[in-house]
Amino acid sequence: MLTFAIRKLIILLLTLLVVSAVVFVIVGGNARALRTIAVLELGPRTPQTEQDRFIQRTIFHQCEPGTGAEVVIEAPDDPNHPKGFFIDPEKCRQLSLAERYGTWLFGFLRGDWGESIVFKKHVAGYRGVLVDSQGNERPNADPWGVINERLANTGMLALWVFGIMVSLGLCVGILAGMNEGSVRDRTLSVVAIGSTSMPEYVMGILLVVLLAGNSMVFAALGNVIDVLPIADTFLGADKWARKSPLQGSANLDKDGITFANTVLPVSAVIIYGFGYIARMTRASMAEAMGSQYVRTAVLKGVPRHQVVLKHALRNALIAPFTVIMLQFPYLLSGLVVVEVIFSWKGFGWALNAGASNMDYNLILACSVVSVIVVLLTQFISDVGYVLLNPRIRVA
Amino acid sequence: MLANLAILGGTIASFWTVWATLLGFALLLSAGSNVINALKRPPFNTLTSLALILGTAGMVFVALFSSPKMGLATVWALYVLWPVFAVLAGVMIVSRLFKARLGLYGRIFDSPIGMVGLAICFFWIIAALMADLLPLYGPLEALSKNNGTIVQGVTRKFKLGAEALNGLSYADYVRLSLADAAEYGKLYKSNIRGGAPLVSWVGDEGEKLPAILGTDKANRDIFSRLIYGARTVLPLSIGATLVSFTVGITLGLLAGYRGGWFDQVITFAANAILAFPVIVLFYLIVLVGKDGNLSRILATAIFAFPLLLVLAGLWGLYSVKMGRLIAILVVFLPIALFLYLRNTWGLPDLSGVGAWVAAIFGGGNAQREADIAIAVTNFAQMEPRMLNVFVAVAFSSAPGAFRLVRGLTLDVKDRDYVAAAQTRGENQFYIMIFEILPNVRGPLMVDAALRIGYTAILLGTLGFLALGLPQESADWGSMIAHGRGQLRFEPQMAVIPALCIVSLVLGLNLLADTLREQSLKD
Amino acid sequence: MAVIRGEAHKSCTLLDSKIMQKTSVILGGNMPEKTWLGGEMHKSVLKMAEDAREGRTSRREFLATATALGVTSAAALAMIGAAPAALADGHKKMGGTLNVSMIIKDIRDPRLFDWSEMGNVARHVVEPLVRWNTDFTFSPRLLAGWEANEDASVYTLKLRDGVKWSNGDTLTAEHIAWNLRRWTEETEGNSMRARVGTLNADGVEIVDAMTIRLNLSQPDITIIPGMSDYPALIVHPDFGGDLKANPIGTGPYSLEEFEVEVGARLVKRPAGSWYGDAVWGEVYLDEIVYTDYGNDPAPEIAAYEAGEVDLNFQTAASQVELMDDLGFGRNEVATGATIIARGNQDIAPFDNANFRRALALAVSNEDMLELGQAGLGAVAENHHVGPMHEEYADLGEKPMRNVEAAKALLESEGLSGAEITYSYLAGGDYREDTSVAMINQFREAGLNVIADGRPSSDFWGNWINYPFSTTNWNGRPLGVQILNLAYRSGVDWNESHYNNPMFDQTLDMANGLADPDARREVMAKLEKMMQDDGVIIQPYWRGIFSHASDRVVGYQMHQSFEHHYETVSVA
Repeated sequence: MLTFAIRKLIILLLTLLVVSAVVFVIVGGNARALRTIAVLELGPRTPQTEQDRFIQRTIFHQCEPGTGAEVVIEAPDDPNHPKGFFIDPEKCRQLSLAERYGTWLFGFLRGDWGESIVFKKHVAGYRGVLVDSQGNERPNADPWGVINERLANTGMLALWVFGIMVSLGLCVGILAGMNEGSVRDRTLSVVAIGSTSMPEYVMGILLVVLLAGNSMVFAALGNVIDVLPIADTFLGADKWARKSPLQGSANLDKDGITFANTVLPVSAVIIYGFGYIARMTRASMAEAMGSQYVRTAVLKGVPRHQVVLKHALRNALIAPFTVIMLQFPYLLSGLVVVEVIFSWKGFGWALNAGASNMDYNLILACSVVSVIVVLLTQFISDVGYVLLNPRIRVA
Repeated sequence: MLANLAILGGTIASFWTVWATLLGFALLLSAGSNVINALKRPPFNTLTSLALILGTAGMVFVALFSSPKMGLATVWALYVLWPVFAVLAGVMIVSRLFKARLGLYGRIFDSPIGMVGLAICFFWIIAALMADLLPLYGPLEALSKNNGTIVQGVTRKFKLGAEALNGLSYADYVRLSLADAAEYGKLYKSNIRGGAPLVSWVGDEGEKLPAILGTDKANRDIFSRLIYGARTVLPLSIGATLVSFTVGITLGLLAGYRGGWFDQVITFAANAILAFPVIVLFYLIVLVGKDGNLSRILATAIFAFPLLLVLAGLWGLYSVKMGRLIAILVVFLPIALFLYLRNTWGLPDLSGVGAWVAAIFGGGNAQREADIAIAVTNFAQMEPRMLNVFVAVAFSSAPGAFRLVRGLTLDVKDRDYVAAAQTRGENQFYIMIFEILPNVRGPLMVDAALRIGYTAILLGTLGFLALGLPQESADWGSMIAHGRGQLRFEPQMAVIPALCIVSLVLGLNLLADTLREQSLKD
Repeated sequence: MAVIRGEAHKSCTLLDSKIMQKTSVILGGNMPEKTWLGGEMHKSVLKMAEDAREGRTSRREFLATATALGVTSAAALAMIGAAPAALADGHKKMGGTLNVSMIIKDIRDPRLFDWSEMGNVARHVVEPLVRWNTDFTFSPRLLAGWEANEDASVYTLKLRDGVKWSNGDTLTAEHIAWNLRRWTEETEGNSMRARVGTLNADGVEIVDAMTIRLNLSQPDITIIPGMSDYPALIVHPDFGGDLKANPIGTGPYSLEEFEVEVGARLVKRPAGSWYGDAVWGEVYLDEIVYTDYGNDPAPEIAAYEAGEVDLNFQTAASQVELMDDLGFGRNEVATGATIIARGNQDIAPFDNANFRRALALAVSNEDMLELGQAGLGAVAENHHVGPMHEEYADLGEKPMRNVEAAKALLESEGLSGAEITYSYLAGGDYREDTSVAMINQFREAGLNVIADGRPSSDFWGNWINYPFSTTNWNGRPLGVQILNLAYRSGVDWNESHYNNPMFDQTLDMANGLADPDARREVMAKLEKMMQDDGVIIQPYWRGIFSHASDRVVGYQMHQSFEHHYETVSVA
């Protein structure tokens, strides 16, 4: 068992190394990224020459120590040279991609994940000194970096989603798989198929239209209640606000996680995700119900609920367990979309902001973190499968 | 007055008919094949009834707060699309009649769910193919105020926010909606000039319908864009799925059949790609790698596989008949290489040829010359931004296909017929492609159907997040993104493209489910 | 840079003493307080007041120029016969939190600011010397007042008494001089450099502890307006280069929380600790919370509906009607903000004037206004000067769409069906909507247009050099200002790469004419040249909007998106 786990871990680390290198090559060697960053740093209408100078001296240059490359020019005669911090590009050596990757990896391992260009703070909680584009050194005031902070928000969302999605999926799957081919099975299967056809962005839109703020459903409810004779008796004139208590956007920093701002994003992910789990559970349950030992148990006269709970369920849950764990990459993708729709300021939202502004440190960190999460769940899935399944023995 | 009343009456009736039909479908689907049986069954199934009640309640709600105008729009939509429905009905009826001779495809007609799924898929395919024959506006055609067709935002007044209704009773609300519908009717009359008979429109220039679902922010007809959207979504998702399957099949067969270090390396790479959440992969390929040569490099790799697969197949078949092989290759290779190079590195550059062709066929008309030159220059070449998206989507779903094919190959490679072929001394490519592959086609087809749906969803995500697809592309995801700002105002702008995606994916999912069931019966 | 010089050149001739003598009678003895410092009124003001009274120039223009020269807003208003707006204080009450939706960008150093949003957060902590008010006058903030000499080349700035920094220091002339010198530095990204272009570091002279004299290299009447702009906020010399880390300020609020792309929270300083209580009156709001809902309007509207937001930075034109319908109060300002489409004249086929004219003929400016801006604005005339400018000349004939003429023109140049790449900023706002609408009209004229929509991060990297693109421009008080900035040969922001010596000469002439009537005649030539050369397609002048919930009392939208909350309270 231990060797199995260690072997898996080594493969995990190897994957991580390869993946980070590939991402680094894509993100770090990108000319457009540098231009974007220059615009972001200097302002939208800065002349091209100024942008070029910024690009030339700021990024990915290694200035030899002691060569005097870092010159502070106080009052230059040449009006083209800015005052203040200035690096002489002649005395700098441009690092090769491999060198840069090495530097990045070394920093990454130490916990120095670089500074985010969009968020103007460190990507991870690193206590060190930051150097800005003007060359000023300043202590990293906020040790709580972008990723940790945002991951916490996403973690809460994912927790809700995962908890409800898995329990719902398992329940529906088990109920459907208990009597294969029954009306209940067919009904639930169609529901499950329908749910896998409704991606998060569709559900997000529909839920906002139907249930958030000045929503259609609540307006309609208002209309219905108005014409009912009970309206005056029970509700009074102004009792029914016609306005949904649910929110179409979350302001986490002000309100934290509340019923009003969490229900819709969580539902949007769940509706898409639970169908797949339900169908897998159903298939596995149906197989278990048809197996020899369950039939034997039924023939022996064991009560039906005992058959289901004691004999079938345990074996039926092995396959869904792996499936659920392998759902993680899709769950993460879904969370990105939902966070963008509902302005939920989590990991996916940060990734979206970073990627659309070529924030290379953030993109790198987000990619690596999400790959770590996925690989870890795969690892848990592999190990768990072995532990759960009595038929497999690994030396 | 009378005409308006007639329109109103018809609208309301059709509106409820449409909803009743949908309700009927819902009942049919939710209760399996036989509603009556389900309801008669002694321990009346609580879940079924709950589903029925909730479904009905939902329908009633939607019906209550939709205005009759939505009903009118539905009627128009059905009317405009009747050729599509006619062809669809024809295909379905013919298939049903000859189902015994149609193998696995025919057996889909044994299951009502499968038929529904198939009908939805066919609907979109036929609509995409027939789009040019329907009385639609072009996907990029803006309806201009000046040429008298239509004023922007027919549905502008169609508000569903509660605030807009504050202080109104339901009766007032209905009255307002009816007034809307009357206005709509007037508009219809002014557009169909001279009250032309409704059946004569096909091919009749200038007799286009009003903007059924209103227009978008650039004054383009939303309904037309929806139908043309199928032309973007279907080829991209089907094409990308096919390409990813050729990648998966080529590598999966090799890895599964040969094993060894090759298997280990490819499996490792596939797992590494699968470890990326798809969306991260998209950000990297589509957004970050856009201006570099990343997508071209990926295209070079991915598009090589269809070529390699065909070559391997030819080699497997004709390795002993060299003359035949060479004859085929002489014809096949230049065409294949031309397409391959055009769609990877844009080679050869046809702009010179374009100018030359334009000079010959342009007939001195500068406008025509320019159009011809552009058409020739872009001949057999995917638009670069489309290529970007295509490659990203195909790349992200190839590892899944690979894992599937590899697993299936491992499963069947020890079977008797493979051993027999090996004993016969068949070429290993022959064994892989003509012995193993046909025997695993069932699961592959099921997965392909699912994967096309999944790819359509991914494309929607790309459009929704404005990643890569051209700004003005009429794909459904982009339409959702564009309509999102108007959600409270004109919900149909975002909701209906969303429903299009849902319907297509639902159709594919139902189809895949039926295929799985039917192929398990083998 | 060019603008400012042109501007200064103009101001030399402004000072015509004869005109002054003629009009001095108009000013009776009952003026409230003529200038902030109680000194003489600047002489050119009188002639301008007469013009404004008689409708020859815009009143707004007069108010801006007069107050920039040191006249009090009350006096300036009185000179054109307008009463200062009275503030309705009836419903106001102390306390409460104002929730504002706005993009949050980094506020490291005010002089590096390049977005109005940055200034809006910082302005409550660190204050400007001068404020541009919503009635288009300038009034002193950290200054007690200012005076300009005859030819507006020397300014004397008086500091306000008793201004304290939040760390307890007293504001001195040293601090101000330090700030002014910082503005003149050529540091990368220093956007104040261009705004105080005529000021050099050694031109800042400390007269005494409360007085500073600015010796400009050239006469310049834009120096005070420059000091009221959003990057012109006065920081403490010890602020250390990062305002958010070390927010020492003179303002009524302290910065409690700040995170880029997320939000900011400003809290009122303890009672009695702000100097302004005595000068401006105590501020009403206890807390101002800014939240970033992103560029997409949907989450912002959802937040409005949920009652999370009381006020926004700007409402997109396409959302204005919706926000009205949802019951939020509309704030509106007409400005010189606009959008233009231009071809790069260095690149074929845009080097062909007939081709450019054909493009203009293919476009209906009314349709653009309707489709791109939901009709909320005024149709423009393809020469970037409008009725809001005092020297605007009405050419009579408005540019009209004529597709047939456009096609014929293209045909005659052999450019029918030419392929053009149209770059635009695809952010879902008026820029995208207008561009897409224009692309459609180009296509109707037979052109083959490649739509090249780019996200914001991508678009601005190369905006000067696109073959064809749409760009948005903010309003400038003077018509010549914008022409100097964007159409003079070889200037930094000349995105059309328009190179016409004749135009430059005529523009020089206009810069030298103080009298709006004389300038108008020259301007008519310039406008005609712009149209005839097909330099730009300028479909419309856009109105700018914001919305407030009914909780908000006393808010008025500012013409350059500045947030001032002294008069604002929440119910």
